[in-house]
Amino acid sequence: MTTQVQGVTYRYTHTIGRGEEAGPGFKNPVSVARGEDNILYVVNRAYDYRADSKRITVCTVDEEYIGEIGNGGRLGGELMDTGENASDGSLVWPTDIALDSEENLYITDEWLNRVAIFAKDGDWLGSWGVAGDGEGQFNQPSGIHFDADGNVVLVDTGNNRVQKYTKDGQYISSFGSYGDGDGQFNMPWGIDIDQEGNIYIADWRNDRIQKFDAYGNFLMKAGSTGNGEGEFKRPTGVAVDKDGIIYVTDWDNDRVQVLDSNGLFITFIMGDATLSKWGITKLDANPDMKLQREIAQGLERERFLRGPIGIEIDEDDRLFIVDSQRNRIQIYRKIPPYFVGMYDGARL
Amino acid sequence: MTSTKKDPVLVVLQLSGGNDFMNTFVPYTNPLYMDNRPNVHIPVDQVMPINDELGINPNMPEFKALYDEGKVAVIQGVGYPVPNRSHFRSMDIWHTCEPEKIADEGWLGRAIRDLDPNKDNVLTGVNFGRGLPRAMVAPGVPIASVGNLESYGVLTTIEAEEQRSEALDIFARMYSPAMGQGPVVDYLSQTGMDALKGADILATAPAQYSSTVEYSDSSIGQYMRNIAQVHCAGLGTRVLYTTAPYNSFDTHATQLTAHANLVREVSRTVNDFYQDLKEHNEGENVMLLVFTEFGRRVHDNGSGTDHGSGGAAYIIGDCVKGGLYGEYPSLEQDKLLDGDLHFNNDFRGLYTTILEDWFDLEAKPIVNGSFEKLDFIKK
Amino acid sequence: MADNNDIMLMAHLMRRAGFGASYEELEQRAAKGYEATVEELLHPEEQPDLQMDVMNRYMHGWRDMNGLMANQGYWTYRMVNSPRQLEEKICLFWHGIFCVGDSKCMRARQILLELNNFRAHGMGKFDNLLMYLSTDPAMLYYLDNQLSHKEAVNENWGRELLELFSMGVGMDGEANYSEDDVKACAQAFTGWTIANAIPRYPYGSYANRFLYNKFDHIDDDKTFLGETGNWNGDDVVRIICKQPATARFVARHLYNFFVADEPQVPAWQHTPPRDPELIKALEDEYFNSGYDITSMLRVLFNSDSFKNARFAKVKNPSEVVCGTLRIVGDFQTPKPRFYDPALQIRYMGQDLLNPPTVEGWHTGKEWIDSGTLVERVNFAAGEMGRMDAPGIQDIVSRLASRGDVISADGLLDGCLELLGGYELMQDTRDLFLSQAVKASELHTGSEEFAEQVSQLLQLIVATQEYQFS
Repeated sequence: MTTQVQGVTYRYTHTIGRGEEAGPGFKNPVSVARGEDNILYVVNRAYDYRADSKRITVCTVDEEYIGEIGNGGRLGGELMDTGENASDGSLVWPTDIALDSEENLYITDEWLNRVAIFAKDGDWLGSWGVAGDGEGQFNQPSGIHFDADGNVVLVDTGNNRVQKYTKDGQYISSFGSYGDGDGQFNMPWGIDIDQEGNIYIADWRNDRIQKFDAYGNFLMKAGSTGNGEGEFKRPTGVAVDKDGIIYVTDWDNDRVQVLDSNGLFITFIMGDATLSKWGITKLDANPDMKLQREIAQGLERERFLRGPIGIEIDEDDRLFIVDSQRNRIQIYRKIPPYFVGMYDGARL
Repeated sequence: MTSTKKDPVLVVLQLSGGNDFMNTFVPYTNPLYMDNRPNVHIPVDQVMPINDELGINPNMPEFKALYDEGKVAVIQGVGYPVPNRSHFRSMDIWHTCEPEKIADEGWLGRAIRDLDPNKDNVLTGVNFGRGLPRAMVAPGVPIASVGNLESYGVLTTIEAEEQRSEALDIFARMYSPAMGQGPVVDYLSQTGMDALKGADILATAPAQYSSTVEYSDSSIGQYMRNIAQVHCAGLGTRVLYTTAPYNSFDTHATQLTAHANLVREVSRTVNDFYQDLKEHNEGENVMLLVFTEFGRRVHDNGSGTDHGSGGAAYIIGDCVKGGLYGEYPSLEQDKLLDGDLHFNNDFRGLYTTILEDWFDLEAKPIVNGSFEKLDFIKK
Repeated sequence: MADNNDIMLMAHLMRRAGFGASYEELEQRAAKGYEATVEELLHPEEQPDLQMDVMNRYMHGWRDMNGLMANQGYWTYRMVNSPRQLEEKICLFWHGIFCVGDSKCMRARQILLELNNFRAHGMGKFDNLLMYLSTDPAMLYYLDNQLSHKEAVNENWGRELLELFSMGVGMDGEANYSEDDVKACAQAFTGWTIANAIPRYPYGSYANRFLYNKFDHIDDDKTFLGETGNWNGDDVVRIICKQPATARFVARHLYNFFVADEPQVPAWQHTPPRDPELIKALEDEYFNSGYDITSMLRVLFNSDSFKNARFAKVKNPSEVVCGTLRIVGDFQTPKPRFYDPALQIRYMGQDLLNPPTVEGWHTGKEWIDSGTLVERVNFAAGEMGRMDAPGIQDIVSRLASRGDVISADGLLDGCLELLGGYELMQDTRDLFLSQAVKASELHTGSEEFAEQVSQLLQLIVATQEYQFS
């Protein structure tokens, strides 16, 4: 299926993932980051009762399983770390992920109030963060992203502001306050930064996104409450591509909205999921599930997005939508309006 | 009844989640094994053979040693007609012996009622873990459920020790039977006193116990240690139960690592328990039953295995005639049941054997029918 | 200004029509008046609903409701926090009668969808509610009606609809229906089935759909409760609802849940109601109002029998846990292990959304055995020991505001009152005054005062009296 509006086309390519507490699969994934060599790091939030399934799944865009990083604790969460007892490598409420230039993983944990850092091979590199509402402190950090200078910009949800730190945690600056005016937030969540250094924030409980320059000056906002075009119900994630097109995961409307660089509506992506490789393996092992699917009524419902959260577009124009409630990632390719032709078929 | 022989005792270790029989007792010479388990198999050269067909998982050396000594009876292909692949429903069936109807009386609850009809001992049945397994439930049968033996008791949420002991004193007085307050209050008083009495008696168990056996820190290791403590304390407890927590045997993914850890733990713990009782000379009247609600799917799913049927149960102890019972279910495609091992051995026959030949109880009303017994108990 | 009696009566109402309330809420409600509060409770749609967006943001298992543990946590949260208290209470009421269990259905979310029907229609017309129930995919599956075909009728649903969900086996010593009526009922519901469902793996389950297959329906005359016709399921519901037995059955269930413990349901055929007068009034209201549950509840809550039935019921585990948490003032904002209160309820013998059988939980004193009593006492005492909790601090400061010095008697009475008007047996009371309160006078400004209050609260919730509602 392709979605085509105003010259931009989004071609669904494939789905990766399946629901799994460990190994190849995801459990309530919330965020994805793309590394070198088509590697993906997927943050699995899971549910506290199965804290062992909180983890970063490492796999490729083609769904080759590589391994896991970090953990939420032992089975059943009996030994799950909370509060000041957080130990190395533990994830309680992992929320978003960003990669630095060496592909180290920076993961916000909105319960532990810290940024956890792992090397790409899984080694624990440490963490930083002080809980609070003062300067250099945060309360429930969510979205995280690196800027062009290699500094960390993170969304301080509980304090309704955006903060900038060096990557080892030295406070640099912050902007924003509680409210619904320009430059104010109500429990903001996702973040992205464009090539010019502008910052986009999913202003979650204000049902809008906001754009700021690198210094935090308000530039633009888009969206209002609702389920129509250009309207949101609790937008969670935001991504912006090299042409300035903005992608928003519209969580409670179960869809992605594509906006132009002025914030005007272009199109919806509702989801086109098909069975992933891991999903097919699962069904091959379970003839009863396979049969049930063949005779199931309303299987077409399965393709739709359900509570999407993270969203990422890479330099190859591949759009990764973290379809959280369905434990999978739906992948699209943006086809620009200019001629690409068959010679570049690999890119399609 | 007077006898110099000690009363028979049953200990149950429930492996929740569905243990993979095929990777516990591995049909290592059967080509269909590798065909069905391209990803999730035990390398043939690593299994510990017990005959030309079956080998024990290499992570279970202690279990293998017990097997070789003839202390383990393996009940193969155990299950029930029309398998249910829901953990909870299947476990219910095992607990209540009712594969068709939904029932709420457990087989051990009934057995405890028959073992102690006058409720002389509030500790005839003791469960280790929070909340009672349905197997132990029967109306009017008092069962103690112990989350943590070292800290078990009433008002344990009061942290300061002095305050707690004062509170307990008050609790005992306020629950001492008040006459004429009505049947509900009288019942509550009695229940409160039972709880207190049970807790007081249980509290004495750890102090009486010392052992050279060091159990593992895992929850089953600690609970089996608690069971040994209570048994050795001679409190007259006849049925002791515990459950491997969190459905951990539900190895849908990364099974090879996860299952290795799980069976290693079971092997070590079962042996620790056996040796511990032996050390205390308290073993000969104890039968340990290890069971799971179902086996797993014959074909793997790339990383793990999904819910299946036909599994196995294990009976361990000096009272056991070791060896294999029943038949290993066939792996032939046309003998499978929707991709699962076909059960060939009704679990109620296993229960009947335990109830009649171990506890000397009438099994039929407990397991809801007549089932063929197995001859795994030494006479 | 509400006096103390009004507040204590309000505490009784809120324990029954809800999950208890803090003293502050009791004062506010008492000031509005008893009957006005009853009306407010009977019209949940006029109260704001809980906003779930923030909870769903942090509790990722809650949004799609695919797991039992998440769903129990979600429902417990609603019981503790919903401003529409009676809506959650009626939901628990119907859940305990119209039982559907996760262990068989394996689709946790499907049962929650059924609860949504109880919330929306549980205080509406009984015939309407039975129609929702008869087309509820979770129920049809739980009672095997998808296996009932015109050539081979499965009577499970047909029988339980009569026995457990609407009429009961008998009353006043007589049977309410015959085996032939069961057969006719089951025949009328042939063809009421569900669509083939999408399996839970690999991408999670979806709502199941009810399906009426007229080709699998017995399209023929049936005689049901003396009426002959080509009945379908909706006809059966219509005929059921006009039976005196149905009025009695609904009335007794309401009485048993909201007023005072009756014997267990199977005994009802031969055991007359405890309070025939109130049952009669409820039966009359059932017919006069066109089977309206709200109207029946209005009669019930405004009756003297109800008002005088304080502490005549053993609390169910949800009432113990949620009622305690509502006083302590916790479990409101997201934090890890939010499923814990639901686990406590389970340990006390009420596995929500997973009742032991279609007959539901046995109630009254059967909630309590030596294991569950220990769970109750330990949980409640643990919560009362949390001196940082807002509800405990509120109790301490209210007591402190009564003067610089408070007598032992005053302290005990104050604690009992602020917990919602509990009354101790004389022996227990004497014991507390002689043993628990160490001084005849306490200084409310002293450093130890908060701790003294908390310790006394811990003992009060450990009593037998606290097990009653």
